[in-house]
Parts: sequence; C-alpha cells; structure tokens
Amino acid sequence: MSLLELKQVTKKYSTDAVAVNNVDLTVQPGELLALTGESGCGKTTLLRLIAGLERPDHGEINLDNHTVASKQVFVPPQQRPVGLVFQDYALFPHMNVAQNIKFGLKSWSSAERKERVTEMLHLVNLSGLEKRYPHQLSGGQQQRVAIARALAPKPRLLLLDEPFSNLDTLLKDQVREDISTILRRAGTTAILVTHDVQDAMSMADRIAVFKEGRLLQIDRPRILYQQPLDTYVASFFGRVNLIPVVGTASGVTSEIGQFFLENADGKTGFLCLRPQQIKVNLSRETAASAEVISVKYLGDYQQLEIRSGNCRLCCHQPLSVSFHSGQTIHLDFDLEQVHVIWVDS
Amino acid sequence: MNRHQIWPLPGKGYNLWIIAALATILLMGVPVYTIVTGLFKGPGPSWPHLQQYLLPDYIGNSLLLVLGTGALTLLWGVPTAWLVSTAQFPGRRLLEWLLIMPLSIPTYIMAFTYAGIFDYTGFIQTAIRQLLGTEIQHIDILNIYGVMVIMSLALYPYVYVIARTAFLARFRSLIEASQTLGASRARSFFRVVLPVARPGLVAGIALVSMEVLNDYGAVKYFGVPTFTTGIFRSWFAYEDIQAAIYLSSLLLVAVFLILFLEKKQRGQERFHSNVTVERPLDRHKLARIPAVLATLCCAIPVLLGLLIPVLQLLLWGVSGYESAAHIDFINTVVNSFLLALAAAVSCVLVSLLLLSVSRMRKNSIYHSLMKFATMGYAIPGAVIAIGVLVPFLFLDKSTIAMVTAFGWENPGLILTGTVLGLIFAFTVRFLAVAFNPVESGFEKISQTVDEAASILQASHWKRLSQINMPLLRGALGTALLLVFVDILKELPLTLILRPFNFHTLATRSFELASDEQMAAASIPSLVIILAGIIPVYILNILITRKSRQ
Repeated sequence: MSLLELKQVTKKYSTDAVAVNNVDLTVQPGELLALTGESGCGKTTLLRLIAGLERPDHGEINLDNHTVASKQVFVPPQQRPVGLVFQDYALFPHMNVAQNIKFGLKSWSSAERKERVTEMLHLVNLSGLEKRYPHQLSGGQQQRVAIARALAPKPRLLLLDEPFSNLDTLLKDQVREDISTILRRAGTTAILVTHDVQDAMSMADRIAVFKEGRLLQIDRPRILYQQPLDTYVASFFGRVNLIPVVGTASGVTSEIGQFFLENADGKTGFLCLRPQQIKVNLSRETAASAEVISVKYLGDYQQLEIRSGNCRLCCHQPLSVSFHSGQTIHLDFDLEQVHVIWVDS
Repeated sequence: MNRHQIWPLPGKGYNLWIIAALATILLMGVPVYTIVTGLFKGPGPSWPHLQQYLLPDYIGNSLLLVLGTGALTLLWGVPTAWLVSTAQFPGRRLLEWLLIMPLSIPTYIMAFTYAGIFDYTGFIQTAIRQLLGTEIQHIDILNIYGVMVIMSLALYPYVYVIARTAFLARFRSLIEASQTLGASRARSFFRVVLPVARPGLVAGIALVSMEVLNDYGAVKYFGVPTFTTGIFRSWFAYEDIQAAIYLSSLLLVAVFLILFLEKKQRGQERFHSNVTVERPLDRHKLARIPAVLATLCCAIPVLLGLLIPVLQLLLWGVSGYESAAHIDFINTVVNSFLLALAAAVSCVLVSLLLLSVSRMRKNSIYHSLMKFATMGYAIPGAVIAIGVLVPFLFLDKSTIAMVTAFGWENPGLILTGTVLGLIFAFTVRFLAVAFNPVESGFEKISQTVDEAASILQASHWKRLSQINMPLLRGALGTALLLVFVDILKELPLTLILRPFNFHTLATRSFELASDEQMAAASIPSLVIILAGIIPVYILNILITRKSRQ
C-alpha cells in the first residue's frame, strides 16, 4: 500500500500558467523521493500541494489511506500528518530551540514533550543547545532544528524544500550526509525538492524529473542516468551525446555507424551516449573515425570535442594519453550500455 | 517561489475569522453609507439659505486655505529639510529634530495661542506700547491669512519629514552623479533633487490638505467659515442633519479629489519609509556666514511653530494653574486617557483581525476591502461624526421602541452621545494610524513562519497569539501609542459625539480658550502637547536609525 498517491493533480495560477500539470505519482512507506527539475518546473508547488498550502485545481491526493484533496475534499495543512522543512527554515525567531521543537506537540503531556525534545535533539545531534535562539545558531544547525521541529510530531511524511540551497559547497556534503543519517535513523518517508542533480542522485531512492509542470520520468537514479526515456531527462543528468538514429531490422544506423539491437524497423530516435562511453582505440583503425576539435584539461580527466561525419561529440579520456586538435582518432563504443531514446512519430 | 494562494482557501471556505473580518470592514464604512444614502433623501430645510449665503464662502475659504497652507508648508519644510540633511552648520543636530516638534501642537491650540499673543493685552501689542509709548494701529490676525500661516506652522512637519527621509535616503548617488557632470549644489537641487522628490512632497502636501479640511478649532476661533464650521452650524444651530450631510458629501468629494490627484501624480512611485536606503550623504560643511544663515533659516520655523507658542502657554500656565482645579482637571485627564486608550486598543485589535485574515488568504478583493476600511483617516472628523450619528440615532430609537414594546424598561441611548459610540467613531477615523505600522510589522514576518506554524497543527488563534503577536510587539506598541496621541488631540469628532457634559483635554482647552480663559486653557493644552512629543520623538528615532543602517 503506498503512503502517498497523486492522481492527475493539476494546479494553475492563471489560465496560461500551469504550475503542475496532470501529475500521477506514488510514494512507498520508508522511501526517499526527490523531486527535481529546473526552477519554475513546478516541483515546489507540488510539495506545497502535498503539504496542503495550496489546493489543486484538478485531481486527487491520497495520504496514508485518506483523501486529503479532491474535488469535494480539502484537508487543511494543520490536519495533515506531514512535516515540512522550509527552504528558509522558518524557525520562530522569538522561541528557543526547545520551544521551536515543542511547538507542534500540542496534545502531548509536558513530560512527553520534554522527552521528545531530548530525543529529537539527540537525533539531529544538537543536544545541549536547547536554550539557544535561532539567531545564535549556524545555518546548518538551524536547518537541523527545522528538521527536528518537523519530525517531532511524528509525521507520516516529511517534506524538505530545497534543503541544500542556503548552504555553501563545503557544508553541503556534510549536510547531505547528516540529513541521510537523520532520515534513516528516524525511518521516515520523505520527499525532497532540489534543483541539484547531484543531491538528488546521492540521496534519493527514486527521482522524479519535472519540466514545465509535467512529470517526465520517475525512477531509480541509475535508471534515469542510463536509460532516460526523454532527451531532456538525459541531458538533465549530465553531459550526453544525442545522435539521431534510424531504426533497421537489426538495430539502428547513424552517422557514427550501425548498432545492433532488437528489431527497430521504421522507428527513429536518439542514441544516448555519455562522454565516458566513447573510447579511443589507439591500437587499430575502427569503423568510426573522428577529428579532434578541442581538448580541455579538467583535472581528473580530459574532455575532447570531436567531429565524426556531421556529428559533434564530446568524450572523456584518461590523462595518460595526449591529444591535439586536428588529430584523427578511432572510436569504440560500449555496446552493452547503448541506449536509444525513441521519438514518437 | 510562488506565494499565490486561493480564495476561499485552505480549509473550510468561510470560517469565523473571515466572517468577523468582513463584518468589521462593513462596519468601518458606515459613515460613507450614511452620506451617500443621505444624498437621496434631499437637502434639509436650511439648505436653500446655506446654499445661497454661506456655501460660496465655505468653498472659497476652504480652497484658499488648502492652497495657501500647502504652499507655506513647502516654504517651511523643504529648504530646512535640504539643509539639515545635506549641510553641516551649528545646531544642526538639535534643529533637525526640533523641526519635527510643531507636529505635537494641534492647530486649534496653535491658533488660540497666537490669537492671544497678538491680542490687545497680548505680548506683542503690550511690548510695542511700552517701547514706543504710543498706541499702534490694531493688529488683526483673526482672518483667513492668519489661519493659513498658523496652520502651516503646525503642519509643515508633514512635508519636512517626507522631504528629509527622501534627502537622507535616496539622493546620494543622484547628487554625486549630477556633481560629476559639473552641476553645482544649487543646480543639482533644482534640476535633480526636487523633480525626483516631487511625488513625495506632493504626498506630504496631500496630508497637510486633509488636516486643513479636517480642522474645526482654528477656523472657528479665527471666525473663518469653512465646510467644517458649516457642518457644525447645520447640526448645532439649525439642527438640520440633512444639510450637514449635504455639506459633508461636498467635503468628502474634495478629500477624494485630493487623494485621487495625489495617487495619479505619484504613479508607480512609493514614498513610504521602506525606500531602499543608501549610505547617507556626507554633509557639506558650510563657511561661516552661510552657516549662520542656515542656522537662522532652520531656527525660524522652530521658533514660530514651537518655542513661542509653548513659551506663551507656559506663561499662561504659571499664572493659571490654580484655575485648573476649577475645571475638574484630574477628571478630564482620566476621561481623556481612558477614552484614548480604549479607542487605541480597539484600532489595534481591528488591525490585527483584518491583517491576520489577509495573511492567510492573499486575495486582491479582500485587500481592496481592507484599504476601504482604513479610509476613515482621510475623512474629516466632523464628517465621520455626522456619518455615524444618523445610524446611531436610528438604532437607538429602534431599540428603545422595541424594548418598551415588550414592556421592559427604557434602556436609554446606547450609542448616541455615549462613550461606546465615541470609541466606534474613533476606530473608524484612526484605524489607518494603527493599521499601517501593524501591516509593515506583518510584512517583516516571513510567510513561511506562518506556514510552518500551520503545518505544526496551529490553529488561526494559536498562530496569531503565539507566533505573530510576540513578533509584532514593537509594531503593536507603536500603533497603540500613535492612535492614543491622535485621539488625545482630536477635537471636531469629539465635540459632536461626546456624551453630555463629558470633557476631554481637547474639548476643555478649546472651550476655555473660546471663553477667553487662556490661563485655564493652557494647562490641558500643555498636557496634549507633552503627550504629542513622545510619538514625534519615536518617529524621529525610527527615521534616523533607518538612515544609519
């Protein structure tokens, strides 16, 4: 039984501004789902819809076996079993850490509250700071208080809005680690919104990619990276070579050669090659030759821009070999990992 | 991130909070409904007389007063603001904030004080007689030009404060740009600073005009017939409420015309205190003679608008403090303070209600309705008084009729001429004074803080009382204080609506002065001025702090 279910959820801000467009989605208990996409793709609006801070125009949201939003029903945020960690944390500035965490525990006895605060502070590694006020804490500490506050009432679902956007890069790795640990220890189901692919891939069990309000693909990070269903998804997860291909009875044919797959006669699409899937064969000439256009040194590897026929490609090569522009090279492709994105005719 | 929200929104559509807020907004419009519906009932019996013999004077005098006072406030307010914010001269820091102080003297107190100074037995004429040993020609300031000058002395701080905020905050880069292009300071002032400051200055003059149209005491004392004195005459002398409504409607049209013109000329410009603040100007150190002139220039309005009238009141006070006992002074102070406090609390509570609802339901219609509810500040006190009087009389009569029909005891008038009715009218008139600081206080609280509280299961009440109100403490205090002082000085509305034989400091001081008991009048006047100094002081601190940040 899924914990959260979205059915054809749509949210418009005006007739031509559709923030969330017909989204179907389910989240399993214990799962960590990341919503990602460029800014303005509707991921934050979706989070607010789930929290109850916005009301959908169409569709239905089911949470923990209850309908919380539909045409007839709307459960306000204060009655939904969700916790939300805001992008700016939204800590109550006039309350100390303990009071902030306690705020949501309204029907608890004072002994239970006290115990829960201690427990939460221990969970987020801030024991001893309960008397501090938000302005006396670092950004990372404030964020952990915000998480503790959201988790304290034991929500069925925790929502995190851009948890890494207010932190500098040095702190980010640490925070990623911290949040993963906290969520795992708390055993909560969580949805996080991030525009950063690295954050999404390193933390989430599954990732949902949005573009202009539509859900393009939702799957495990590895699948999204290796087998994207859409050219946008492919390029969203890093540099990719998209080579137009035409299907044949035995596979596909393209500018850089033939690839044998299942029968694809009559179909067209794009061959999806990551830069590291293109190898340079130094020992012999292969069917695909190319000319080096430019070489960029990138520290761990070098990045080559090459031209094969009318195709411009990008590939990553180890630093052990040196290349120069104008040089002719021969390419190998790792057939095991070849993936084609078919275009609907 | 989008902050759009929907209506009627998260939750069950219409809850008690929204209903209460909408009902309150409806109530705040009562005077406007009265005036508008009153127009359809036809003018009263005294209207033909009024229209033929008095109305031309009312219109002419009010117009002349608005224009003349407006022009004079520019004269007092702009050069002084420019000098204190851009130049360095002896006494600048002291003068900078003394220049705001005349705001604490109500126009009617300023008026009778000056009338006393220029009186036959007053300081000026006595001094001339003694120095020259001769009778001089009678000096008469009790005319429209006298009122103009005196009101401009009490009201120029509106222009001064806005101009100074603008000069302190906004013009550094503009002036620097203009100077690098070879313009002198004078040229920069006339070609760059004044045009850019214009919208703000016009807004200041609009405020002055509203105060001029609101004034009753000063024009009455000086015998200049205007709309407000006309409204009083219709109601108290002719007992013709319809004539009062007709005059009120004309006055209302004048006020809305001013508001409309002000809004139109301002365009997109917003001239409130939340302008982006740049580094303040480095003040230009003046040479000796210009510096002395600058000091003089800034000292004149302070002398005329503050020191001379206060000194005169103090002199009267010294000779007349015994007479204060006769007027039941303590009782008047207690009345005044309790009334002002109750009405201030009412204004703050209404502001909190309206704004807390608006915060959860961002909705443009509701927002316009809120603006409508705060419109009372633009409407002259006499108009509001007439506007609530009519429904009060109707409600009271109906209640009495109903109650006695059931055979119960006659409850008497519940709203008309009672403190309750007075508090309601004050709330209509001064809501905006509380609303604006509370609104900017709310704007400083991040929307996500409220959302966080909601998600943590807080009800509307819990969010308001435990999250918003503690964070709004400063704003609520400011709001309370500002309304308190405004009500303490309020005259026309109080005169019309107060209970029989009920006195406030304002009505006392005006009535005693009207009876030529200057010494006795000076004591309540000084209390009003003293109380008025506090918010002016706070205002000044806020402006200076803002410009330092």
